[in-house]
Amino acid sequence: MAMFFETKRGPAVRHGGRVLVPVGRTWGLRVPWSRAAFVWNRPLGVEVEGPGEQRFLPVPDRTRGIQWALLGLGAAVFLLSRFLRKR
Amino acid sequence: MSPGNVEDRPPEVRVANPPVERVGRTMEKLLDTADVSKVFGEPVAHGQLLLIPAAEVVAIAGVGMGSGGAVGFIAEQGQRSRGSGGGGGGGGKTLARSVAVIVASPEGVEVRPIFDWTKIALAAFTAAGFIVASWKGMKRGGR
Repeated sequence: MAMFFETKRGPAVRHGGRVLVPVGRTWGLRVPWSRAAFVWNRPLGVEVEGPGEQRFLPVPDRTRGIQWALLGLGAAVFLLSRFLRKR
Repeated sequence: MSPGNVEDRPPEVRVANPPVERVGRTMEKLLDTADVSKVFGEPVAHGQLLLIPAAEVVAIAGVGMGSGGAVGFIAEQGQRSRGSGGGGGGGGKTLARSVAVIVASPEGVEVRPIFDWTKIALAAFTAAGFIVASWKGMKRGGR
């Protein structure tokens, strides 16, 4: 089983005196003996270079964040209720 | 009359084991999704704005093959009989979901997130299910 992580930069895009470079991250899994593979590719952010500025803007996945928060809330209430019932 | 599979497999690239070679090509195509060009779309210019869509891409695939053979003896005929067979199958799926849009304007560059309300609603229902079940369990436990 081979797992790989890769951070790749895309082609630079010029706009209004700035250069934008998109950056993506890939997590993959290859299972040679069963000829199976899984690839999860997501945007990491964008590098912005301009006159007097050089910064990295992350691309947040708000939907995923809200999903985890809601599921965490449900699980926390469930565990808390079990704890309170035992006492 | 159909020309058959001529375009898909020209004679010069015929190999001894076409299914295995085809599986390899499919896997290579899947791993091609591990590229930054798959998550960032083509920039769209709109007036003084430049929009770059960003998406999450998940691809999964699996293929299995097997073959076997056996030799038996038929007593009535006094002969040996042999047989063999093989088969295979596979499947895969690619999922993509918009995550954000990068907006470049003369004022600056900003990242605007995209909300998938269907996924959020499903997570909310799941969380609500946990909370309601826990509340009912507590009420039952208190009696």
